[in-house]
Amino acid sequence: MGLSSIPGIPTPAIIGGSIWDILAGSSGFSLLILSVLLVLSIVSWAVIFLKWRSFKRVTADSARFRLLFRKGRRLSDRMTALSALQHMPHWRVIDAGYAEAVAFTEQNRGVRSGDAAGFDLTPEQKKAVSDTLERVAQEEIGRLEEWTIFLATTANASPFLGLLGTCWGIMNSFMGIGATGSASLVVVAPGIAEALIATVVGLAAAIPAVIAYNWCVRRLRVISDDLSNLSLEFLTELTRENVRETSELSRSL
Amino acid sequence: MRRYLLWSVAFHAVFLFVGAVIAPLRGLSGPSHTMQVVSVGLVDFAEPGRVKGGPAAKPAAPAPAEDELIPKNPAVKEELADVKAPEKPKKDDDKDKKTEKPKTADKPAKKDTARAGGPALAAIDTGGVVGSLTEGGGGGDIWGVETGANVNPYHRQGFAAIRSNWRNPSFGRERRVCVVKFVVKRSGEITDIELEQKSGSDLFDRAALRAVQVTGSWPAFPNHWEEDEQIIHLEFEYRP
Repeated sequence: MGLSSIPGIPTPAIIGGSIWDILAGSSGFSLLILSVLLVLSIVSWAVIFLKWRSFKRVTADSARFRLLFRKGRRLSDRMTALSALQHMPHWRVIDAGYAEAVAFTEQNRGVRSGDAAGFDLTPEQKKAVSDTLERVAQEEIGRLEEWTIFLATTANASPFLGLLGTCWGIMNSFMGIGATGSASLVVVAPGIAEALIATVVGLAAAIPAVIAYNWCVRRLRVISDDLSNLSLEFLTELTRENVRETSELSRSL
Repeated sequence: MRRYLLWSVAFHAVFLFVGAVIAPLRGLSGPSHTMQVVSVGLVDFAEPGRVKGGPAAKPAAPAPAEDELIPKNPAVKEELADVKAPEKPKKDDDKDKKTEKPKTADKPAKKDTARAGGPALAAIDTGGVVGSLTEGGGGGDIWGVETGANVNPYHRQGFAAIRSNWRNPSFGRERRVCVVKFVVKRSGEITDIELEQKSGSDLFDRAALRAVQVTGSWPAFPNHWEEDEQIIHLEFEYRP
Protein backbone atom coordinates (compact mmCIF):
# COMPACT_ATOMS: atom_id res chain seq x y z
CA MET A 1 0.00 0.00 0.00
CA GLY A 2 2.26 2.74 -1.18
CA LEU A 3 1.35 6.23 -0.29
CA SER A 4 2.67 7.75 -3.42
CA SER A 5 -0.93 8.07 -4.39
CA ILE A 6 -1.25 11.03 -2.12
CA PRO A 7 -0.20 14.11 -3.99
CA GLY A 8 2.60 16.12 -2.56
CA ILE A 9 4.06 13.15 -0.80
CA PRO A 10 7.01 11.67 -2.59
CA THR A 11 7.38 7.97 -2.78
CA PRO A 12 9.12 6.97 0.39
CA ALA A 13 12.78 6.18 0.09
CA ILE A 14 12.42 2.91 1.87
CA ILE A 15 9.77 0.48 0.92
CA GLY A 16 9.73 -3.08 2.02
CA GLY A 17 12.30 -2.06 4.55
CA SER A 18 14.15 -5.11 5.64
CA ILE A 19 17.54 -4.47 7.13
CA TRP A 20 19.19 -5.52 3.88
CA ASP A 21 17.26 -3.00 1.85
CA ILE A 22 18.42 -0.28 4.16
CA LEU A 23 21.98 -1.52 3.85
CA ALA A 24 21.68 -1.49 0.10
CA GLY A 25 20.27 2.00 0.16
CA SER A 26 22.78 3.60 2.44
CA SER A 27 25.30 5.92 0.99
CA GLY A 28 28.51 7.88 1.31
CA PHE A 29 29.87 8.31 4.76
CA SER A 30 27.77 5.65 6.39
CA LEU A 31 28.83 3.21 3.70
CA LEU A 32 32.43 4.00 4.55
CA ILE A 33 31.77 3.36 8.22
CA LEU A 34 29.99 0.14 7.39
CA SER A 35 32.90 -1.05 5.24
CA VAL A 36 35.39 -0.30 7.98
CA LEU A 37 33.21 -2.18 10.43
CA LEU A 38 32.95 -5.07 8.01
CA VAL A 39 36.72 -5.25 7.71
CA LEU A 40 37.11 -5.11 11.48
CA SER A 41 34.56 -7.84 11.82
CA ILE A 42 36.25 -10.03 9.22
CA VAL A 43 39.66 -9.67 10.80
CA SER A 44 38.36 -10.21 14.30
CA TRP A 45 36.57 -13.36 13.27
CA ALA A 46 39.74 -14.57 11.59
CA VAL A 47 41.54 -13.97 14.88
CA ILE A 48 38.79 -15.80 16.72
CA PHE A 49 39.16 -18.85 14.48
CA LEU A 50 42.95 -18.72 14.75
CA LYS A 51 43.02 -18.41 18.52
CA TRP A 52 40.38 -21.00 18.97
CA ARG A 53 42.39 -23.50 17.00
CA SER A 54 45.70 -22.79 18.64
CA PHE A 55 44.40 -22.63 22.21
CA LYS A 56 42.40 -25.74 21.65
CA ARG A 57 45.47 -27.65 20.58
CA VAL A 58 47.44 -26.40 23.55
CA THR A 59 44.80 -27.19 26.13
CA ALA A 60 43.99 -30.55 24.58
CA ASP A 61 47.57 -31.72 24.90
CA SER A 62 48.58 -30.07 28.14
CA ALA A 63 47.19 -32.83 30.34
CA ARG A 64 49.00 -35.43 28.28
CA PHE A 65 52.16 -33.38 28.44
CA ARG A 66 52.04 -33.24 32.21
CA LEU A 67 51.40 -36.97 32.38
CA LEU A 68 54.40 -37.74 30.21
CA PHE A 69 56.56 -35.29 32.11
CA ARG A 70 55.88 -37.03 35.40
CA LYS A 71 56.25 -40.49 34.00
CA GLY A 72 59.96 -41.16 33.49
CA ARG A 73 62.54 -41.56 36.17
CA ARG A 74 65.10 -39.21 34.76
CA LEU A 75 64.84 -35.96 32.93
CA SER A 76 66.56 -37.34 29.86
CA ASP A 77 63.96 -40.12 29.55
CA ARG A 78 61.19 -37.64 29.95
CA MET A 79 62.58 -35.39 27.29
CA THR A 80 62.67 -38.32 24.91
CA ALA A 81 59.05 -39.16 25.65
CA LEU A 82 57.95 -35.57 25.38
CA SER A 83 59.54 -35.01 21.99
CA ALA A 84 56.33 -36.35 20.48
CA LEU A 85 54.66 -33.13 21.61
CA GLN A 86 57.02 -30.68 20.02
CA HIS A 87 54.25 -28.40 18.87
CA MET A 88 53.48 -27.41 22.44
CA PRO A 89 54.82 -24.25 24.01
CA HIS A 90 55.47 -26.38 27.08
CA TRP A 91 57.94 -28.42 25.11
CA ARG A 92 59.84 -25.39 23.91
CA VAL A 93 60.17 -24.09 27.46
CA ILE A 94 61.40 -27.37 28.89
CA ASP A 95 63.64 -27.99 25.92
CA ALA A 96 65.38 -24.64 26.32
CA GLY A 97 65.94 -25.25 30.02
CA TYR A 98 67.19 -28.76 29.42
CA ALA A 99 69.62 -27.68 26.71
CA GLU A 100 70.96 -25.00 28.99
CA ALA A 101 71.43 -27.40 31.85
CA VAL A 102 73.18 -29.93 29.64
CA ALA A 103 75.44 -27.21 28.23
CA PHE A 104 76.46 -26.02 31.69
CA THR A 105 77.15 -29.58 32.82
CA GLU A 106 79.42 -30.27 29.86
CA GLN A 107 81.18 -27.01 30.40
CA ASN A 108 81.84 -27.88 34.05
CA ARG A 109 83.02 -31.41 33.36
CA GLY A 110 84.93 -30.48 30.26
CA VAL A 111 83.55 -33.51 28.46
CA ARG A 112 80.59 -34.58 26.50
CA SER A 113 78.52 -36.05 29.24
CA GLY A 114 75.91 -38.01 27.44
CA ASP A 115 73.03 -38.15 29.84
CA ALA A 116 74.01 -40.89 32.19
CA ALA A 117 75.52 -38.98 34.99
CA GLY A 118 72.88 -36.41 35.84
CA PHE A 119 73.75 -32.74 35.98
CA ASP A 120 76.59 -30.81 37.43
CA LEU A 121 75.50 -27.22 38.03
CA THR A 122 76.55 -24.47 40.34
CA PRO A 123 73.79 -22.44 42.02
CA GLU A 124 74.49 -19.52 39.68
CA GLN A 125 74.06 -21.80 36.72
CA LYS A 126 70.82 -23.11 38.15
CA LYS A 127 69.64 -19.55 38.44
CA ALA A 128 70.58 -19.02 34.82
CA VAL A 129 68.56 -22.08 33.81
CA SER A 130 65.60 -20.78 35.78
CA ASP A 131 65.89 -17.42 34.04
CA THR A 132 66.01 -19.14 30.69
CA LEU A 133 62.87 -21.09 31.52
CA GLU A 134 61.10 -17.89 32.48
CA ARG A 135 62.25 -16.05 29.40
CA VAL A 136 61.13 -18.76 26.99
CA ALA A 137 57.81 -19.07 28.80
CA GLN A 138 57.30 -15.33 28.34
CA GLU A 139 58.16 -15.65 24.67
CA GLU A 140 55.66 -18.45 24.25
CA ILE A 141 52.93 -16.48 25.99
CA GLY A 142 53.74 -13.55 23.76
CA ARG A 143 53.40 -15.76 20.73
CA LEU A 144 50.03 -17.03 21.94
CA GLU A 145 48.94 -13.48 22.69
CA GLU A 146 49.62 -12.39 19.15
CA TRP A 147 46.57 -10.80 17.49
CA THR A 148 44.44 -10.94 20.61
CA ILE A 149 44.97 -7.22 21.06
CA PHE A 150 43.13 -6.81 17.80
CA LEU A 151 40.07 -8.34 19.41
CA ALA A 152 40.28 -5.79 22.20
CA THR A 153 40.58 -3.00 19.67
CA THR A 154 37.58 -4.21 17.71
CA ALA A 155 35.58 -4.64 20.88
CA ASN A 156 36.30 -1.08 21.96
CA ALA A 157 36.30 0.74 18.66
CA SER A 158 33.39 -0.83 16.78
CA PRO A 159 30.58 0.54 18.91
CA PHE A 160 32.08 3.98 18.65
CA LEU A 161 32.43 3.73 14.91
CA GLY A 162 28.83 2.62 14.72
CA LEU A 163 27.84 5.52 16.93
CA LEU A 164 29.73 7.87 14.66
CA GLY A 165 27.80 6.58 11.68
CA THR A 166 24.57 6.90 13.59
CA CYS A 167 25.26 10.45 14.69
CA TRP A 168 26.19 11.35 11.15
CA GLY A 169 22.99 9.91 9.77
CA ILE A 170 20.81 11.59 12.33
CA MET A 171 22.60 14.85 11.73
CA ASN A 172 21.80 14.51 8.06
CA SER A 173 18.19 13.77 8.83
CA PHE A 174 17.90 16.91 10.85
CA MET A 175 19.62 18.88 8.13
CA GLY A 176 17.00 17.48 5.81
CA ILE A 177 14.31 18.73 8.11
CA GLY A 178 15.92 22.10 8.15
CA ALA A 179 16.26 22.23 4.40
CA THR A 180 12.73 21.23 3.59
CA GLY A 181 11.09 22.88 6.53
CA SER A 182 9.22 19.68 7.03
CA ALA A 183 9.43 17.33 9.90
CA SER A 184 7.63 14.62 8.05
CA LEU A 185 8.62 11.06 8.54
CA VAL A 186 9.45 10.82 4.88
CA VAL A 187 12.39 13.09 5.46
CA VAL A 188 13.44 11.74 8.80
CA ALA A 189 12.80 8.04 8.73
CA PRO A 190 15.21 6.83 6.05
CA GLY A 191 18.06 8.80 7.53
CA ILE A 192 17.44 7.53 11.00
CA ALA A 193 16.93 3.95 9.90
CA GLU A 194 20.14 4.11 7.94
CA ALA A 195 21.83 5.73 10.87
CA LEU A 196 20.79 3.02 13.27
CA ILE A 197 22.12 0.36 10.94
CA ALA A 198 25.61 1.63 11.66
CA THR A 199 25.11 1.05 15.35
CA VAL A 200 23.68 -2.38 14.71
CA VAL A 201 26.66 -3.39 12.62
CA GLY A 202 29.06 -1.87 15.13
CA LEU A 203 27.54 -3.88 17.93
CA ALA A 204 27.45 -6.99 15.78
CA ALA A 205 31.17 -6.62 15.21
CA ALA A 206 31.95 -5.76 18.81
CA ILE A 207 30.02 -8.37 20.74
CA PRO A 208 31.80 -11.47 19.41
CA ALA A 209 35.09 -9.66 19.79
CA VAL A 210 34.39 -8.86 23.44
CA ILE A 211 33.41 -12.42 24.22
CA ALA A 212 36.35 -13.86 22.32
CA TYR A 213 38.79 -11.47 23.92
CA ASN A 214 37.68 -12.38 27.42
CA TRP A 215 37.91 -16.03 26.53
CA CYS A 216 41.42 -15.52 25.15
CA VAL A 217 42.55 -13.66 28.23
CA ARG A 218 41.29 -16.44 30.44
CA ARG A 219 42.93 -19.15 28.32
CA LEU A 220 46.19 -17.26 28.26
CA ARG A 221 46.19 -17.01 32.01
CA VAL A 222 45.62 -20.72 32.34
CA ILE A 223 48.41 -21.51 29.89
CA SER A 224 50.75 -19.07 31.55
CA ASP A 225 50.14 -20.64 34.96
CA ASP A 226 50.69 -23.99 33.36
CA LEU A 227 54.04 -22.95 31.97
CA SER A 228 55.31 -21.49 35.22
CA ASN A 229 54.24 -24.58 37.14
CA LEU A 230 56.05 -26.72 34.60
CA SER A 231 59.18 -24.60 34.94
CA LEU A 232 59.12 -25.04 38.69
CA GLU A 233 58.66 -28.78 38.34
CA PHE A 234 61.53 -28.90 35.89
CA LEU A 235 63.79 -27.01 38.29
CA THR A 236 62.87 -29.37 41.08
CA GLU A 237 63.80 -32.34 38.94
CA LEU A 238 67.01 -30.62 37.96
CA THR A 239 67.89 -30.16 41.62
CA ARG A 240 67.12 -33.78 42.32
CA GLU A 241 69.48 -34.93 39.60
CA ASN A 242 72.14 -32.38 40.31
CA VAL A 243 75.31 -34.17 41.33
CA ARG A 244 76.72 -31.22 43.27
CA GLU A 245 73.73 -30.78 45.45
CA THR A 246 73.40 -34.47 46.21
CA SER A 247 77.09 -34.71 47.12
CA GLU A 248 76.80 -31.60 49.28
CA LEU A 249 73.80 -33.09 50.92
CA SER A 250 75.58 -36.38 51.66
CA ARG A 251 78.57 -34.48 53.00
CA SER A 252 76.48 -32.46 55.37
CA LEU A 253 74.79 -35.54 56.75
CA MET B 1 46.58 -16.10 9.74
CA ARG B 2 45.95 -15.73 6.05
CA ARG B 3 44.10 -18.98 5.93
CA TYR B 4 41.87 -17.85 8.78
CA LEU B 5 41.25 -14.55 7.08
CA LEU B 6 39.96 -16.43 4.09
CA TRP B 7 37.80 -18.50 6.39
CA SER B 8 36.43 -15.40 7.98
CA VAL B 9 35.69 -13.74 4.65
CA ALA B 10 33.84 -16.85 3.59
CA PHE B 11 31.93 -16.85 6.86
CA HIS B 12 30.86 -13.24 6.42
CA ALA B 13 29.94 -13.78 2.81
CA VAL B 14 27.76 -16.72 3.73
CA PHE B 15 26.15 -14.76 6.53
CA LEU B 16 25.37 -11.79 4.31
CA PHE B 17 24.17 -14.04 1.53
CA VAL B 18 21.84 -15.93 3.82
CA GLY B 19 20.55 -12.70 5.27
CA ALA B 20 20.08 -10.90 2.01
CA VAL B 21 18.96 -13.63 -0.33
CA ILE B 22 17.79 -16.76 1.36
CA ALA B 23 16.13 -15.49 4.49
CA PRO B 24 13.61 -13.27 2.70
CA LEU B 25 12.76 -16.10 0.36
CA ARG B 26 12.24 -18.59 3.10
CA GLY B 27 10.59 -16.10 5.36
CA LEU B 28 13.26 -16.68 7.96
CA SER B 29 13.71 -13.06 8.74
CA GLY B 30 10.44 -12.86 10.54
CA PRO B 31 7.66 -10.73 9.23
CA SER B 32 8.80 -8.73 6.29
CA HIS B 33 7.38 -5.48 7.41
CA THR B 34 6.89 -2.83 4.88
CA MET B 35 7.89 0.47 6.22
CA GLN B 36 5.03 2.81 5.75
CA VAL B 37 6.37 6.26 5.66
CA VAL B 38 3.54 8.61 6.13
CA SER B 39 3.94 12.29 5.95
CA VAL B 40 2.52 13.90 8.97
CA GLY B 41 3.27 17.52 9.40
CA LEU B 42 4.35 18.45 12.85
CA VAL B 43 3.45 22.03 12.39
CA ASP B 44 0.41 24.17 12.19
CA PHE B 45 -1.49 24.63 9.03
CA ALA B 46 -0.22 27.12 6.62
CA GLU B 47 -3.55 27.92 5.20
CA PRO B 48 -6.91 26.85 6.31
CA GLY B 49 -7.59 23.29 5.61
CA ARG B 50 -4.17 22.54 4.26
CA VAL B 51 -1.67 20.33 5.86
CA LYS B 52 1.68 21.93 5.80
CA GLY B 53 4.74 19.87 5.74
CA GLY B 54 3.23 17.05 3.84
CA PRO B 55 5.35 17.43 0.80
CA ALA B 56 8.75 16.42 1.87
CA ALA B 57 10.74 17.81 -0.94
CA LYS B 58 13.94 15.99 -1.59
CA PRO B 59 16.66 18.47 -2.19
CA ALA B 60 16.49 17.79 -5.87
CA ALA B 61 12.77 18.13 -6.16
CA PRO B 62 11.41 21.62 -6.51
CA ALA B 63 9.17 22.88 -3.81
CA PRO B 64 5.55 22.27 -4.55
CA ALA B 65 4.13 25.01 -6.60
CA GLU B 66 1.36 27.16 -5.27
CA ASP B 67 -1.23 25.68 -7.51
CA GLU B 68 -0.47 22.25 -6.22
CA LEU B 69 -1.64 23.36 -2.88
CA ILE B 70 -5.04 24.20 -4.12
CA PRO B 71 -7.09 21.11 -4.04
CA LYS B 72 -8.50 19.92 -7.23
CA ASN B 73 -12.20 19.87 -7.14
CA PRO B 74 -13.54 18.36 -10.22
CA ALA B 75 -17.21 18.51 -10.60
CA VAL B 76 -18.78 15.58 -9.02
CA LYS B 77 -21.78 13.92 -10.33
CA GLU B 78 -24.26 13.97 -7.60
CA GLU B 79 -25.80 10.66 -7.27
CA LEU B 80 -25.57 9.95 -3.69
CA ALA B 81 -28.23 11.13 -1.48
CA ASP B 82 -26.86 13.00 1.40
CA VAL B 83 -26.36 10.74 4.28
CA LYS B 84 -27.00 12.17 7.59
CA ALA B 85 -25.42 10.47 10.43
CA PRO B 86 -28.24 9.95 12.78
CA GLU B 87 -28.02 10.51 16.45
CA LYS B 88 -26.86 7.62 18.39
CA PRO B 89 -29.48 6.14 20.52
CA LYS B 90 -27.52 6.56 23.69
CA LYS B 91 -26.05 9.97 23.31
CA ASP B 92 -28.19 12.27 21.47
CA ASP B 93 -27.94 15.72 22.86
CA ASP B 94 -24.26 16.29 22.86
CA LYS B 95 -23.76 15.31 19.33
CA ASP B 96 -24.38 18.29 17.21
CA LYS B 97 -22.50 18.02 14.08
CA LYS B 98 -20.58 21.03 13.13
CA THR B 99 -19.73 19.53 9.86
CA GLU B 100 -21.09 21.00 6.84
CA LYS B 101 -23.43 18.55 5.31
CA PRO B 102 -24.62 18.97 1.82
CA LYS B 103 -28.31 18.85 2.22
CA THR B 104 -29.19 17.27 -1.01
CA ALA B 105 -27.27 16.11 -3.89
CA ASP B 106 -27.80 18.95 -6.24
CA LYS B 107 -27.73 21.82 -3.81
CA PRO B 108 -24.47 23.58 -3.41
CA ALA B 109 -23.28 23.36 0.08
CA LYS B 110 -23.79 26.34 2.27
CA LYS B 111 -21.09 27.73 4.35
CA ASP B 112 -21.82 26.51 7.77
CA THR B 113 -21.87 29.34 10.19
CA ALA B 114 -21.95 27.05 13.11
CA ARG B 115 -18.43 26.04 12.42
CA ALA B 116 -16.83 27.49 15.45
CA GLY B 117 -13.41 28.80 14.71
CA GLY B 118 -13.00 26.39 11.88
CA PRO B 119 -11.16 27.53 8.85
CA ALA B 120 -13.08 28.46 5.85
CA LEU B 121 -13.14 25.77 3.29
CA ALA B 122 -10.60 26.18 0.63
CA ALA B 123 -13.18 25.15 -1.82
CA ILE B 124 -16.81 24.49 -1.51
CA ASP B 125 -17.72 21.07 -2.58
CA THR B 126 -20.81 20.50 -4.39
CA GLY B 127 -21.62 17.33 -2.72
CA GLY B 128 -20.28 14.32 -1.11
CA VAL B 129 -20.70 11.73 1.52
CA VAL B 130 -20.54 12.48 5.13
CA GLY B 131 -19.37 9.90 7.50
CA SER B 132 -18.37 10.08 11.04
CA LEU B 133 -16.17 8.12 13.34
CA THR B 134 -16.70 8.42 16.99
CA GLU B 135 -14.93 7.24 19.99
CA GLY B 136 -17.00 7.18 23.05
CA GLY B 137 -15.15 7.54 26.27
CA GLY B 138 -17.11 6.92 29.38
CA GLY B 139 -20.29 6.24 27.55
CA GLY B 140 -19.38 2.68 26.92
CA ASP B 141 -19.64 3.22 23.20
CA ILE B 142 -17.42 1.14 21.15
CA TRP B 143 -15.75 2.58 18.13
CA GLY B 144 -18.03 2.57 15.29
CA VAL B 145 -18.84 4.11 12.04
CA GLU B 146 -21.98 5.97 12.47
CA THR B 147 -24.06 5.12 9.60
CA GLY B 148 -27.50 5.92 8.66
CA ALA B 149 -29.77 3.16 7.71
CA ASN B 150 -29.33 4.09 4.13
CA VAL B 151 -25.57 4.32 4.08
CA ASN B 152 -24.11 2.33 1.33
CA PRO B 153 -22.21 -0.78 2.43
CA TYR B 154 -19.34 0.41 0.30
CA HIS B 155 -18.88 3.45 2.47
CA ARG B 156 -19.41 1.53 5.61
CA GLN B 157 -16.59 -0.74 4.62
CA GLY B 158 -14.36 2.17 3.69
CA PHE B 159 -15.02 4.00 6.92
CA ALA B 160 -14.29 0.87 8.84
CA ALA B 161 -10.93 0.60 7.09
CA ILE B 162 -10.06 4.15 8.05
CA ARG B 163 -11.33 3.60 11.51
CA SER B 164 -9.01 0.63 11.93
CA ASN B 165 -6.08 2.88 11.12
CA TRP B 166 -7.14 5.62 13.46
CA ARG B 167 -5.16 5.90 16.64
CA ASN B 168 -7.06 8.42 18.59
CA PRO B 169 -4.63 10.41 20.71
CA SER B 170 -7.24 12.29 22.70
CA PHE B 171 -8.28 11.61 26.20
CA GLY B 172 -9.62 13.62 29.01
CA ARG B 173 -12.68 15.75 29.25
CA GLU B 174 -12.53 17.67 26.05
CA ARG B 175 -14.70 16.77 23.15
CA ARG B 176 -12.82 16.80 19.89
CA VAL B 177 -14.22 16.91 16.45
CA CYS B 178 -12.41 17.36 13.21
CA VAL B 179 -13.43 16.77 9.67
CA VAL B 180 -11.22 15.35 6.98
CA LYS B 181 -12.23 15.71 3.41
CA PHE B 182 -10.85 13.50 0.71
CA VAL B 183 -11.57 12.33 -2.77
CA VAL B 184 -12.04 8.71 -3.70
CA LYS B 185 -11.34 7.86 -7.29
CA ARG B 186 -13.20 5.23 -9.16
CA SER B 187 -10.31 2.87 -8.70
CA GLY B 188 -10.60 3.33 -4.98
CA GLU B 189 -7.54 5.50 -4.73
CA ILE B 190 -7.76 8.16 -2.05
CA THR B 191 -6.43 11.54 -2.96
CA ASP B 192 -6.66 15.19 -2.01
CA ILE B 193 -6.75 14.60 1.69
CA GLU B 194 -7.45 17.78 3.56
CA LEU B 195 -8.35 18.87 6.96
CA GLU B 196 -11.68 20.52 6.59
CA GLN B 197 -12.33 21.38 10.14
CA LYS B 198 -9.85 21.62 12.92
CA SER B 199 -10.57 20.23 16.30
CA GLY B 200 -8.35 22.64 18.17
CA SER B 201 -5.85 19.91 18.87
CA ASP B 202 -3.12 19.48 16.32
CA LEU B 203 -2.43 16.03 17.57
CA PHE B 204 -5.98 14.95 17.08
CA ASP B 205 -6.13 16.50 13.62
CA ARG B 206 -2.95 14.83 12.54
CA ALA B 207 -4.06 11.47 13.80
CA ALA B 208 -7.22 11.80 11.76
CA LEU B 209 -5.34 12.83 8.63
CA ARG B 210 -2.94 10.03 9.15
CA ALA B 211 -5.73 7.52 9.48
CA VAL B 212 -6.95 8.47 6.04
CA GLN B 213 -3.47 8.60 4.56
CA VAL B 214 -2.47 5.23 5.90
CA THR B 215 -5.62 3.69 4.54
CA GLY B 216 -4.41 4.80 1.15
CA SER B 217 -7.12 3.28 -0.91
CA TRP B 218 -10.59 1.85 -0.75
CA PRO B 219 -11.99 -0.90 -2.85
CA ALA B 220 -12.90 0.12 -6.35
CA PHE B 221 -16.37 1.48 -6.87
CA PRO B 222 -19.13 -0.98 -7.59
CA ASN B 223 -19.65 -1.36 -11.29
CA HIS B 224 -23.04 0.24 -11.44
CA TRP B 225 -21.80 3.51 -10.02
CA GLU B 226 -21.22 5.96 -12.73
CA GLU B 227 -19.23 8.76 -11.15
CA ASP B 228 -15.51 8.97 -11.51
CA GLU B 229 -14.88 10.12 -8.02
CA GLN B 230 -16.59 10.97 -4.81
CA ILE B 231 -15.86 13.57 -2.25
CA ILE B 232 -16.06 12.28 1.26
CA HIS B 233 -16.31 14.35 4.38
CA LEU B 234 -15.41 12.27 7.33
CA GLU B 235 -15.90 13.48 10.82
CA PHE B 236 -13.67 12.20 13.54
CA GLU B 237 -15.00 12.64 16.95
CA TYR B 238 -13.79 11.92 20.41
CA ARG B 239 -16.39 12.00 23.09
CA PRO B 240 -15.28 12.02 26.66
